[in-house]
This record gives sequence, structure tokens and C-alpha cells, in this order.
Amino acid sequence: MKFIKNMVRSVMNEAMDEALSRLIKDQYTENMAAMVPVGRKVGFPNFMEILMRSAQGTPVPRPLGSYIHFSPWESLLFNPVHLFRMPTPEQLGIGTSVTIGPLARKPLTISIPIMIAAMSFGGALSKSAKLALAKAATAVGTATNSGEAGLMKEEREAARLFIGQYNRGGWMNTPDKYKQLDAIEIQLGQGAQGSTSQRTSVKNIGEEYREVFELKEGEPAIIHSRLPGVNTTDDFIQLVRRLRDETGVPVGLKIAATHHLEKELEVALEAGVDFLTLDGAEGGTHGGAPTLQDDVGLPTLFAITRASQFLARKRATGKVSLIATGGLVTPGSMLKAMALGADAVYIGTAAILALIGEQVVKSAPFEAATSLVVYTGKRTSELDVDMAALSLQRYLNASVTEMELVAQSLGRTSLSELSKSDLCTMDADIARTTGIQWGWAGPEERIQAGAESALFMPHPSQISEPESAERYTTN
Amino acid sequence: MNGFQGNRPNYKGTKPKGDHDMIETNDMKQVLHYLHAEIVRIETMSGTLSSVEREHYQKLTNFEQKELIDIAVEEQSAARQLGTIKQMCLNMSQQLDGLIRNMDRGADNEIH
Repeated sequence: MKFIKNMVRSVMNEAMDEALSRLIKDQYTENMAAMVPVGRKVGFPNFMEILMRSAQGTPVPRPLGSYIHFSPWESLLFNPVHLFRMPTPEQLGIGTSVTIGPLARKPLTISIPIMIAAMSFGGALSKSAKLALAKAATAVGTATNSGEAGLMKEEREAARLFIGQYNRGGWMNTPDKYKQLDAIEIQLGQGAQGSTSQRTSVKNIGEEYREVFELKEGEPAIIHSRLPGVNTTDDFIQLVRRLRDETGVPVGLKIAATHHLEKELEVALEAGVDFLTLDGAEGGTHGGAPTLQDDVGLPTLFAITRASQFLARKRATGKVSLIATGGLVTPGSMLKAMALGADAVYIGTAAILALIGEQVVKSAPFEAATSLVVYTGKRTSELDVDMAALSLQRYLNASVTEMELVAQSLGRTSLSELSKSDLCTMDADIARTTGIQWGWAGPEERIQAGAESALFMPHPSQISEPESAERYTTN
Repeated sequence: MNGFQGNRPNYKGTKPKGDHDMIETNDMKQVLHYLHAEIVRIETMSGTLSSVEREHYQKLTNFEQKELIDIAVEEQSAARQLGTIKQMCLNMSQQLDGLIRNMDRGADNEIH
């Protein structure tokens, strides 16, 4: 044995010496070492995606959304209290429930402010993954979402609180289906895809998929860029009113967050929606074009801040619920989104990773962990549904408990009580644009520091005024 | 049928007519009072049970055994869901309170 070890060691030593010599002596242009600066210049994901595009000739479907951290959550910190306001006594339970659509005839009340995001059966996830999500959501008293799919009977039965997407594929858009939902989310876009169309080719559609989506054999599943039947603002308004009248459950709108946010929300409020779901640019997907993920939309942090301010201006705070989603992967960022004005959050990527949990060993090291849960995955049959549901239940409990600990330290008795006053920021620009206090200086010094600051961040409405615009002329 | 149900008025939602109007209104008020009182009781019960479940969570997490911690997690979820029921009851009792006060105000207006 020792002889073999020495042999291997000797061979490896020779090989390493040879490789190092070549790295040092070869012309840089022909050297493997050139891949290091090239890799750093292009970035590893971009490098791989260039090669994939060159091999496939079609957009490469990157799973789980952009890797770019658009929202600077780490620049926000919570402000614990000690004396001027006392921390909450530990014997007191922190309120975690939230009512979505309080003005609807049948509002949706959830026990924790974290919901399972829209991830469709077939288009994204396997049936077993969807059932595990529904079971975990039910166990903790929260809601799960159908995604852009038809109504899967087993999922509806497993989920006590089920939000269904009235979708651009048209698969949930008939009364026999949407009348079985606890809330209706009209899906016009998503953070990772904008409002673009999507297509699932026939080779990726199995028999059960066809059944749930009511597709004919050989028919692809197409998500249109527009909702069928909604070609004008007025069509949308009429649709919301009709669905509210017909069902009584909260009817909401989900869009990809964009810089046109306020204009979109204006229409939504006119229609009388009960809730708004804003999916930031960091939003995930089962597989989408990297350009749509990395270069389109508005980050979640800014989308929620702007939407919350808009609702306040329109006196709709507390009447229309605001749901944040997109890139919320830590309990801290979820709670910060709530402090910025979100009533609840959706999680997708984090929920999927938590769902896989200890079962990751089934796919490692030769397959991606997602092969256990995506519809087209090679190992979906190996996912233990009950174990997956338990893993997610544990994760949700741990996350909400961490959020409760922060609330206790802030002297709050419910997670919904958190506001911007519980936050400070290390970023002066965020302080100026969001109204969160700047942590570098106390409130009084801050006024002086702000006055001396050379940078002035204009509000969009100020830019359109000629007098204000002149201030930004650079000559 | 238990004793309490037997004693409370049986409001069938029939259309009130003439002298029956006042009787029907009184019946409905009594039903609302009954619902209000029961909802407040459910609110109190769920609040108490929520505290008990939360204590169970604390006690069970003192042990290092995984099975017990899983039960503790379930207890914690139950505590939150009971907290939700308490909140829902509070909202409902406030709505009923409003209805009762509106009915009282209506009756006062008729008298004056």
C-alpha cells in the first residue's frame, strides 16, 4: 500500500512540475494561465454561458435567476432598543399573522408573513416538489402559489391556503378553476422574465402536464406576452372587478418591478386590486434567458420602497396589501422588505433549497441538486415528499423565529409593526432616496451632513420640471 | 342541541313585516351579541393555547434529540396558528361590535 502511495505521489509530483514549468515558460498568449485573467474579465457564469450559447445557438435557460445582488440589503441594519423604548419581554409572543386583501369579502389570513412563491407544476417543478411545498405551507399556516399552470387537484387538496395565478397561458382562467382558489393573482410578468412570452416545447410535456394544462397531444405550452383578453388598460380594470365580484377572494396583480412602477400601480389601484405582488429584478425562475435575468427590471429593495411610498400617497396603505418577492434569501432581507412596507414576502429559491435539504446527497456529486425537483429533472422520482415538506417546515420555522428575535430586540410585538424607523443605512444615497436614517451620523448631525453634500438625488417629477432640470446641466 | 342553543333565538333570516320588524331586529341583535360573546371566548382560548404551545416549544428545545426538536417545531407552528386565530377573532369581534352599535343607533333614531 505504501509503495502504491509513493508511486502515485511521485507521478503527481512529476506532472505538477511539468505543468508548472509550462505555465511559467509558455508564451502568455498560448498559456493556460491566460484563462485566469480572461475568467476574471468575463466572469465564470458569463464564460460558461458564452460557451453554452456557442454550442446551442438558442438562449440558454439559466435556472433560479440572476446571480447579481441588485438590492443592497446588507447596507441596511436594524436598530435595537434598550432604554428609550424597552425590548419586548421574551414571554410575549411576537405576532406573525398577516391578512392579505383586508377589503375583500373573503380576505386571506396567513400565520407567517412568508409565502411560497409561484413556481408552476410542469413549467418549473415536478408534481412531488409541488406537493411537498403545499404540505409544508399548510403545516406552518401559510399559502402556496400555483404559478402559471392549470389547477392540479392534488396540490389544491394538499394546500389549505392556495393562491392561483390567472395566467398568460390561460390555464387557470375559467370559473371552474379560479373559483376553487383562496386568492387570485393576475400574472402579467415576473422579475426574471419581464413580460416576455415563454414556450415549453412538446418534448418536455408529459401526460400529467397535458392533463393539468388541458393541452392536446403535440401542443406546446405557451405563455403569451399579454394576458388573453386583456389588450387595454380598461380590459384589465374590468377583469379585476369581475373576478372580485364573482369570487369574493382577494384579487391581486403580479408584475415584474420596473422603473414605470408608479404608472402600473396607478392602473392597478383604479381597478381595485386587493394586493400587489412586485417581483424584483433578482427574481428566480426554473430557467430563463440570462439577459432577461441580469439586464431587465428594478431591484426588489427599491421597488418595495417606491410602491410603499406610492400607496401612502394614494392613502391605500393597509387597504391594498403589498407582497415583496425576488432575491429574498435570508430572513433578514425578508424582514427588511417588511420594514420598508411589504406586508408579506414570497420565497422561491430559498424554499426550493430548503425543500431539498438533507436529500441533496441523492444528487451529489454528479447531478445538480435541482435535478430532484424540476419537472424535467433526472432524479425527481427519488424525492421523498414528506421528508422534503418537513425540511421546508423546519426552515420556515427557523426563519420566522429569527425574525421574531429581531422584533423582540426592536421592542415590537408583531412583525407587521416594523417600519423604516427600525432601520438605518450605511449608504448615503439610499438614505436620501428612501427616507431611512443615515447611520454615519445622529439625526441632528445628519441634517448638517445632508446640507453639505454635493450630491442631490432628484425625484423623477423634479427632472421633468425645466427649473429643476437646469440644476443637472453639466457645463 | 345543547342548552345554550336551545335558549338563543333562532334567526332564520325571514323578511320582517310590520310589527314583526322590531321582533326580528331584536332577534338579530341577540344573535349578534351571542356571536360576539362566543368569538371573544374563542379569542381568549386561542391566546391561552398559543402561550401553552410556545412554552412547549421552549421546553422541547432543551433536549438535543432530533425527534423532539421536530415536535417542538410543530408546536411553534401551532402556537403561531393559534395566534392567527386570536387575531381573526379580534377582527371579527370588532366588526360585530360595529354592527351592534349601528343597530343600536338605528333603534335610537327610530325612537326619536
